[in-house]
This record gives sequence, structure tokens and C-alpha cells, in this order.
Amino acid sequence: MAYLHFARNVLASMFRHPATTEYPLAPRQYQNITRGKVEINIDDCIFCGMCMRTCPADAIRVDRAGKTWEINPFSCVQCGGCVEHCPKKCLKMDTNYTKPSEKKTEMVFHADTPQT
Amino acid sequence: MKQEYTEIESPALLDNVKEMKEDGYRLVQICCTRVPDGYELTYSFDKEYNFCHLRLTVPESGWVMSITSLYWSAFIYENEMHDLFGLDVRHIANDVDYKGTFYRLSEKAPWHTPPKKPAPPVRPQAKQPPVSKAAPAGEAVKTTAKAEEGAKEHG
Amino acid sequence: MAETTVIPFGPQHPVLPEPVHIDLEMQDEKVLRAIPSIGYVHRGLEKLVEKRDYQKFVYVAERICGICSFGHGWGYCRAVEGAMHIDVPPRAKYLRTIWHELSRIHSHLLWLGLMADAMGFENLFMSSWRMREKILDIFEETTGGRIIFSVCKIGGVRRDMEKGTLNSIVDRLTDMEAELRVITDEFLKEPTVIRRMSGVGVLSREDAIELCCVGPVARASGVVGDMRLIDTEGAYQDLSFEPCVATEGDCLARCKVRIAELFQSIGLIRQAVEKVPDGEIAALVRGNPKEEFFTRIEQPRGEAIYYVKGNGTKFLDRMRVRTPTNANIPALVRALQGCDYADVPMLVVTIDPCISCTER
Repeated sequence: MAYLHFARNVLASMFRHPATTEYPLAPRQYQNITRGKVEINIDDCIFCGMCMRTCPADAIRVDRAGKTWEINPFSCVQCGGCVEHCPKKCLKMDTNYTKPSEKKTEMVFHADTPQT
Repeated sequence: MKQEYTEIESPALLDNVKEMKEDGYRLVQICCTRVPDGYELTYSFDKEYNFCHLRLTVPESGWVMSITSLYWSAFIYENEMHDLFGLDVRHIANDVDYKGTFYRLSEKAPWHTPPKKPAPPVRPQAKQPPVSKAAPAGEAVKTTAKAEEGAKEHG
Repeated sequence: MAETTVIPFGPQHPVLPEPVHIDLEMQDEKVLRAIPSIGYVHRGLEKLVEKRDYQKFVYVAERICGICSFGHGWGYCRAVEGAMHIDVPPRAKYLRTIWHELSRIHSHLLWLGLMADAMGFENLFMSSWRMREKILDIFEETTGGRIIFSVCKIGGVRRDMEKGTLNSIVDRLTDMEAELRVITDEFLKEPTVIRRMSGVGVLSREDAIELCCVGPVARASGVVGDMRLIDTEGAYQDLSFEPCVATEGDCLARCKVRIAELFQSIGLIRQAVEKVPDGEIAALVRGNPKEEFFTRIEQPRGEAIYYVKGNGTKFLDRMRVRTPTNANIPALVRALQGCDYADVPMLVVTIDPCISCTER
């Protein structure tokens, strides 16, 4: 009997609901403030470049004259610094992570691009 | 919190460390910093939360005596200093002298070269760099260096 | 004299959380000598400080290691704050302490799981990590990330935790305590587990002092030393606790110390949540560091040293991290001499190796 201390826990685990999420059949539940990926509302952006200066991974490129805002989501470390420092609050942190891809592509937003 | 660093000379290293050992100090760490004309070593000791440091400057071509005869556990730091900085540490105890094989590196002594004058971090080339940023001197040189480093980084 | 064989342990091994290579010179089933060799996760982060702004380097510092990530971020911030003489507001100190103690709970639960796995007791491994998931959920709710928090910055913290959140953390920890007791009792009372750990890797008090061990490895051999007792940068001065010490110096003693620290951390969080003051969460930072500074912090694995040397520009001259595993490797090398081959994985896991930290 002294050897089966853990038996109760084992039996309980067999009949309990699994502790893991059955991903990918069930979706992953994120918290409200999970830092997944950076998204921009390009219409509000004034191309000041604060986010570019704040980024520790140099993932953001801002062209003031050409009115483009570019991010390399595979360089981004999801620190949230750009979101904090944006004066117009046009950047936000989405809870879903960047989807895996075969190539490290960059996402370019132009001031006239219609938002999807 | 005032921190004191006692400067000592290279020949007096073993005597000072022996005093520390006899007083009952524990070796905490050995730090090597590359300064333009050599290496600056800081030996840190602790006894009952009393933290003190010995500082030693070694010229680039110089060598430093190992303290493994007094503190055997110093071999970790001395092998690391030798492998990363190329510092000549002599007379490490036989059973723990790894002769350069402790750190598996692709090039010998990668931190041997002293740090260059601080350059700004690699900023991805925007078409119009912001004018208001206060840039350190030598901006013209930076632009070409940036392109190189940028290519290396994304490569 | 019989022949010796050299058997490589690592870099890939089921018990290792991170890659390390140890050449074991064996004679029959006994290890004569162990030769460590590291460098598989060396990223040259100390050299990177010359190219990254000192304020942005916090994000690099916390990625030195995934298990002790908050400790590294906090330690680096403390070193720079010391070099620049910045006074961190009290609320930030308390919040940092609460996150650090949660980090200690998660690290010890991770270690308990690895220890069980090293013995082959996979069910206990999974049960420990199931409890750890609840702590990671707390981290995700309060900081946005499960492992890398990005919540420390020079001068304070970036996010606040409201009273409601803090109370819910304490409630959840209290709920977890009962099941944690079942799991930790398994380590301390199950006869098969005790037989695997007791008497293995004995480090006497004199050895622990001579080898300059830190953390639970030293405390399990009777050497009382806990950096939290003299810590003025966290909330520890206002919290009451005693360091957890054991005297036998074997694997089981180290296990007991870590389990005791786990429950002690829950108590510390409870105390901190009651006493947390209101106020600012960050101080303003101006200028660049010009001086050098050493700081010490009690990470889950022991005493970690952070040293920064500023030169007046926004790039530091030198940043050095001396992690507790770095200081415990001599103890591992000594303990491996003369041990049985079957005990090697247990000994390597018992010092709680965090090789990412050691190699930076």
C-alpha cells in the first residue's frame, strides 16, 4: 500500500476532463492582453516614425514621404513597445500569433490601401 | 550603494586572493572586460553578504596567473575568459584545463577585438531618414555600414 | 589497469532541458572524470550590448533564458538603475517581486517535472507540468506572454496589476496548494522515488563551501545563503521569511529545499499582495549610464550577478551575467567523479542546469 500513493491521482486523471486543449480541433483560447502580432489602422497613421525608433528588433520601417508603413512580422518580438509609444494610437496588439509561412515576408501598408 | 573596487597589480594577485581565502571569502565571479589597451579583470568575493572586488588590468600581450590553486571552481571563469577573449591564463589546474575546448566556437577568441566606437543600431533603410534625430558624428560612414550590416542581418 | 571508455553525455538527452556536452571517462560502470563543454546555445548576447540601445536591451536580456526570463530582465534593469542612480517607486518593487516569486514557482515546478522524468516517472512529470500551466495562465493574463513577459523596463514596470487581479492570483494559488501537496508528497514519501534520490550526489558542507556553490545546491548542504535577505530593490525587506535549508546534501535534500521554496513563494506572494502600496509604476529615465554597477539577485537556481559598465553613450561598454548554473558546474564536475553511470542523469538534473543562462 505504501507504494501506491499516487494511485488516487492517476485514477482521478483517467476520469477527469483532459487538461490540454484539443488543438487544432478546438481553438486556442487567448487572454485579452496576449501579445500576438502587431496590427495597424493605416488611416490614422501620421508616419512620424516613433514606432520605428522604439522597435528593439528593427522590424518596422516607416517612409514619411512615400506614406508607407512596413513591418516584418518574423523579426517582431511582440514586445508591444510600438503600441505603447504610438502618438495616434493606431497600432494595436492582436491576440493571434503570426501564421507560419515558408518565407519571411514583410507586410506593407500604404496610406491609400483599403483596409481588409 | 557605494561599490568599491580594489586595484591590484598582476604579481600581487595570488597574495590578495590567498588573503581572501584565508578570511573565508567565497569566489563569486571573474569578469573580463576588453578595454582599448588590454583586459580589465574583476574578481568578486563574498562573505556573509559583504561583496567586494579586486580589479586587475592586464596588457593585451600579457598573461594572468590562474587562481585554481586556491579556488578550484575558478576554472569555469578562466576557461571562459581564455576561450572568448583569448586571454592567456597560465597554470590552470591540470584536471580542469580544457585548453580551449570548453566553449565550442566557430572562430577563436571572438571577443578579442575591442569594441569599436559606439555605432547606432542598424536601422532599416527608410527612404527619408527622420531629420530631427540627433545622430552621432560620422553619419556618412554609417550609411554604407548600415547597408552592409542590414544585408548581413537579413541574410 | 583496466581500459577507460569515453561516453558522450548530451548535447541531446531526454533529461536535459538545454544542450550541454559532458564527456564521461568511464571504467566499467564508474565515472572517473567528467569534462564539460558548452557553446550549443551561445548567442553572444553580452557582445550585442554594444549594438543595442541600453533601454531596448531589456528585451534581449529577458530572452537569455526561457525559464528564468523575468529574473534576467529584472536583474539587468536593476544593474542599469544602480549605475544611473534611479529610484524605483515602491509599487513597482512589489509588482516585480510578485512576478519574480511566481517565476520561482513555475521554475521549481518545471524542475520537479524534469526530475520525475529523469527517473522515468512520467505521470508525475505531467502532473507537475499541469500545475505549472496554471501559473503560465496567470502570467498570460497579467503580462501578455506565457514565458517572455516584456514587463520590466528601466525605471519600473510597464503594466500594472489591479487589486482584483492580485486577489484572484492569491485565490488561485490557494486552490492549487492542495494539489501541489499531493504532487510534492509523492517526491518526499514514495519509496521508489526516495531510493533513486537518497544518497546520490552527496555534497558535504565543506565541499559546498569550497566549490562556491549557490542556491538550493548550497542550501541543501547546510550553507545558509539567500540573496533575498539583503535585497533592497524588491519588496523582500518588508516580507518575513527564512531561507529553506537542509543538511544531507544529496539529491533528496535538494528536492526538499526546492519544494519548501515553492510553498514559501506562495506565502511570500500572499504577504506582498496584502502590503502592496499604491503609486507610480515607473520612474522617469533621463540620460545615459556612465558608471559601472554590480547587482545580485536570487533567481530560482541561486545567486545571479549582473554587471553593467556604461560609458556615457547609449551603448554600454560591458554587460556581464554570471548565472547560478555557471557557479554550480564545478559542483557537478566534482559530484560526477566516482558516481555510477545510471546516476549521471539524476546528478545533471539535480543542480538544475539552465545552460542557456550559462552560455548567453
